[in-house]
Amino acid sequence: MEISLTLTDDERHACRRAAALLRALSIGLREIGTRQEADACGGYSTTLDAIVASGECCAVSSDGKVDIEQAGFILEGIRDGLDNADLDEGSDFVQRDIERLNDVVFRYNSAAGKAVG
Amino acid sequence: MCGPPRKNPGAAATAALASRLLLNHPDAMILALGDNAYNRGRVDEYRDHYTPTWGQPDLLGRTWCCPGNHDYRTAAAAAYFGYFGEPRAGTPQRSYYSLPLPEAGWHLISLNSEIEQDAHSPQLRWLREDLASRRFGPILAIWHRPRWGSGAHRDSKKPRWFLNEMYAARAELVLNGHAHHYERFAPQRPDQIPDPQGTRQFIVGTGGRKLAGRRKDTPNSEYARFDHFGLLKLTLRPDSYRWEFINVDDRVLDTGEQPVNSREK
Repeated sequence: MEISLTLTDDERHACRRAAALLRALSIGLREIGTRQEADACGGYSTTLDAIVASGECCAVSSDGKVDIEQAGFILEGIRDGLDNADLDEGSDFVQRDIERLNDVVFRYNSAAGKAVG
Repeated sequence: MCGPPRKNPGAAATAALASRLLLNHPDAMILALGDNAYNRGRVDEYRDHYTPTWGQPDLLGRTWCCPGNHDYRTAAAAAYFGYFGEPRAGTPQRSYYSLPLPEAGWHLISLNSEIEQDAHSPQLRWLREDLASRRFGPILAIWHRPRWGSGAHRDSKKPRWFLNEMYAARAELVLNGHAHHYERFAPQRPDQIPDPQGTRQFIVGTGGRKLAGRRKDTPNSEYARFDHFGLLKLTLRPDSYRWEFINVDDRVLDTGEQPVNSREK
């Protein structure tokens, strides 16, 4: 199900930053030989890049929404890792982006519920 | 909670525990806290994984629920709503509901943490009206994503809107899933200030999905287990509630009792 969403500036910036982290993670995972995970992270970053490129208003598919949620889960791991290493500022920064990605997911879910009515 | 056994090793055992508990309490309700069929909440996942365990007639006929994020991996959580039906789950358009529990003298509310829940959202407007018009004072609310948590996913800011309303209504209990462990918090305000007349939050993500460990220490967390599949048994009375966290070997790992919050007559 494709839903048209209007993203705030904060949400678009969060998507851009998440895409950058996931792209870097994908490259690293490929280098250490975990191809499946590298492909998955690469796919999530591609979805986020497309959202950023489409500007304020973007069309998000059901699979694209799952990609955003998966990206948020991977960011949770990055956040926890930064936190464990006492790199608190980076951890807080990532946490804010997780919340913005979740906002997009919740809005997609709300709109999808209305669309089937 | 249910899915391929490799990643959901506890589902059959917790369903069996629920069946054993129902033998002594045939009128008990089962509250399923979301993410019932992994990984995408599809019709075939409900059929192949939920139905053989938690979907058996003795359990399914007593189950009320709230949706989780994995249920929404199928567009509009269509399989979830189709499987449980409107009286037990709501609808894709109105995915939150409440019901009075006359025997216990409590009010049960099921909310949806996977859609918009901000101050001006239809869900929060409904919640305010529902709380204002409820028949019984003591409140038990369920939604999927916890506000506070020491395990995987840690805290989620969004449900603060729910918690603000709960605290204003002096709600006693909130049950959440999402994180795969068990955790009990002291009654507290939405800003984590301890308050004996506040709302007590439980995380009961121990229904079957593989368990996850502690990520951090959270204020007011009174008890947490990251190593047992199990169920939370609640006994609700008009003037008090009792909780028991029971693992799949029938061992009670956490128990306690508390009076309901005081309310103006």
